[in-house]
Amino acid sequence: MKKWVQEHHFLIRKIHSLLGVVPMGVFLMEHLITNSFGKFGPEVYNEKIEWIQGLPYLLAMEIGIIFLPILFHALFGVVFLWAWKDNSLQYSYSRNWRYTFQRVTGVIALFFIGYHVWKFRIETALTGIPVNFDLVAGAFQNPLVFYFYFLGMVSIVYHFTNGVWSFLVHWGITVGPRAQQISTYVCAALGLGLLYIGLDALWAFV
Amino acid sequence: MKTVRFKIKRQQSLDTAPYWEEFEVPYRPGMNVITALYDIAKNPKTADGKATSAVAWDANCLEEVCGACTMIVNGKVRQSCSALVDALQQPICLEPMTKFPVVRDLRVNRKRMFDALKRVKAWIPIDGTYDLGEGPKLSPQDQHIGYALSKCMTCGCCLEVCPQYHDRSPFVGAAALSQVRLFNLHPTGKMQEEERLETIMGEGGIEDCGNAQNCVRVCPKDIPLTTSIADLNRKTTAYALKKFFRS
Repeated sequence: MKKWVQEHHFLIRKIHSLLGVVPMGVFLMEHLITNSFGKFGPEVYNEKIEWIQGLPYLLAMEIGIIFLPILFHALFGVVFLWAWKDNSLQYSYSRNWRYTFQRVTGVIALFFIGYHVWKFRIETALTGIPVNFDLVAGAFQNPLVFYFYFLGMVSIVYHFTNGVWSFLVHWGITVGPRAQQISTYVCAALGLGLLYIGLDALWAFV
Repeated sequence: MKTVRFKIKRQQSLDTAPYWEEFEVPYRPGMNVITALYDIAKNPKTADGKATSAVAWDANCLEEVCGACTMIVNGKVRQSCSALVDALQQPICLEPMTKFPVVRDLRVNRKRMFDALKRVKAWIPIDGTYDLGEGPKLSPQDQHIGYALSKCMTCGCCLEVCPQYHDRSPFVGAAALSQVRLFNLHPTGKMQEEERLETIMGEGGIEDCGNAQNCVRVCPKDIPLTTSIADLNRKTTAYALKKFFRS
């Protein structure tokens, strides 16, 4: 396994980077928008959930587009942490902090997604509890769960939008300092937008 | 008499524990860290008068073009020959670089940097069994880029500040990567472009960059290191796709 990873280092890194944007980033945006139906009340929200649950090939899509990419991205993300020796306090440049936060938010996101998938996909499937507005609202009655969702939302949105910035560098799209600066602004705007959508939807369930 | 106070991290050898010693040397206008180290060597006594061994350090050009005297001065990595005492807060704290094995005191072994240059084939092969004649001309635009890249003196500042470069990681680092760009830019060097790209597409190569971009902030020669890395990201991606679809 170790030898295989070493031999396919370039390919693994590139796949890891690509998966973060497509499909994971695209799915994240879709998910945040779907959550926002909660703003229109339980009936509208439940109707949309039922529509999604009625999609053909749902399980195959969940496994192929969501589960496996997340597993790959998370697994190698953790492996890559091995090469991380932080020095943001000593060399506190903004890009260095963003590098640090990318890793910290990635780890938070891993725990958050693990909990979230267990609670609202696996556990409900095993017990037969229906996934609907009340289930989410009920979980948020516990302030700890709500704050964990708040933290998870901030972490994931940061990890994705800063990841888009890195993706553009990593694939040689933004090469010079000016292009990278402009992409910083664009990614920050995307991040703030998604954060608003994500948090606004969280509050719809309180 | 006006004096200058130094706090120096000392270490007898790689496998002995480091310790701190303070020194006080007479002030002279315009002095830099290296001149102060010479003063300490002339009279190796600590600030409280105890006799000690002379502090070991490396220095060569004394005009910030060789990189030999690179060390951590007041917490920031830089060349000590261009570190003017007048511009530094006292006591001036000197430490060896942390990413390379200490030989003694402020002297480190930067062999890993030179090994990295060998790994990426940072040279242009011009030997043939017959006279190969003149190479193709270099455009003024490429000369301009190449000049900036050629200023690298292998000092190690970029690696000292890199969170991805340390003894657990096999990363070659920004300096060597930037040399790949330099030699691939050269019209004769371009003939081995793909061979050089191959050297940085394995473990410890370009993919190990974490984009913290500290390297470009501390480079004393203002080399556009992050532009070099992003440019090589483009080149290696294009090369990998070409290789895949033609295989």
